[in-house]
Amino acid sequence: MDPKDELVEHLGSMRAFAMSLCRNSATADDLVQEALIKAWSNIGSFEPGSNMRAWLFTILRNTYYSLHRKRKNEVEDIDGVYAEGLAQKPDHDGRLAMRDFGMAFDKLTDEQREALVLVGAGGFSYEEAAETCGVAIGTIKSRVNRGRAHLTEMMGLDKGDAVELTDSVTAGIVSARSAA
Amino acid sequence: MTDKMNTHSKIAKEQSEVDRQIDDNLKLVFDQLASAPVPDRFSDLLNKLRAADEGTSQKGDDTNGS
Repeated sequence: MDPKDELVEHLGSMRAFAMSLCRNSATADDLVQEALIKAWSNIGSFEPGSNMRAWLFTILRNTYYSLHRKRKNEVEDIDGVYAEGLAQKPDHDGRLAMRDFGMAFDKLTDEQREALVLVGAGGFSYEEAAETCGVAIGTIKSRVNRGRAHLTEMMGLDKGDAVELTDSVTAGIVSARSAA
Repeated sequence: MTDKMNTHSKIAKEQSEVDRQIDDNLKLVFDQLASAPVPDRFSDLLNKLRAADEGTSQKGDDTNGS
């Protein structure tokens, strides 16, 4: 089977990962497009039978960081994919405001955010995430731990508090920023 | 001593519960973003790449050797 035929199956998760890196859906889709073209022309470097999603995410993040470095001095255009839409959520006493979760997530460093998304959301093992990011396993572990600690701290989340994120709120995040 | 150990393990347990909930929420957001409809520009792009392949590199297709 031609691995090129499998690319289409990973478009959704590539977009989700790109949005977590860019926090801007238009930029994210441009990034996915560029990564897809690179993947297509370098398909020979993909080992059949290995993890295609991890391979694609590696290309995606390399593309992101090379663009990001070029644009470093420009004003960041972040629309907060993870934060938008959360404002509708009413605050509850003693409960985490969901808006805060998204805003706190946006404040993490790029490294912490991608480590958390890969391991926490994407189901990557520490080893796969380390390979994808080109760093040691211990580095990924510490980024994940620091990311979680920062989230907990920024949200003023006491241990044992529930992080309440309902389906409708999540649907709000998605519909607010994804192309319909 | 026993009380102290219990407190420690209780805190550790509560922290891991917070971590789990953070992961759950990230997963929820990620999965919903990932399952959102993919814009047509991507299938168009793949079709164009496929067409370009077929147009230019007929000879490179047989990479399995013999």
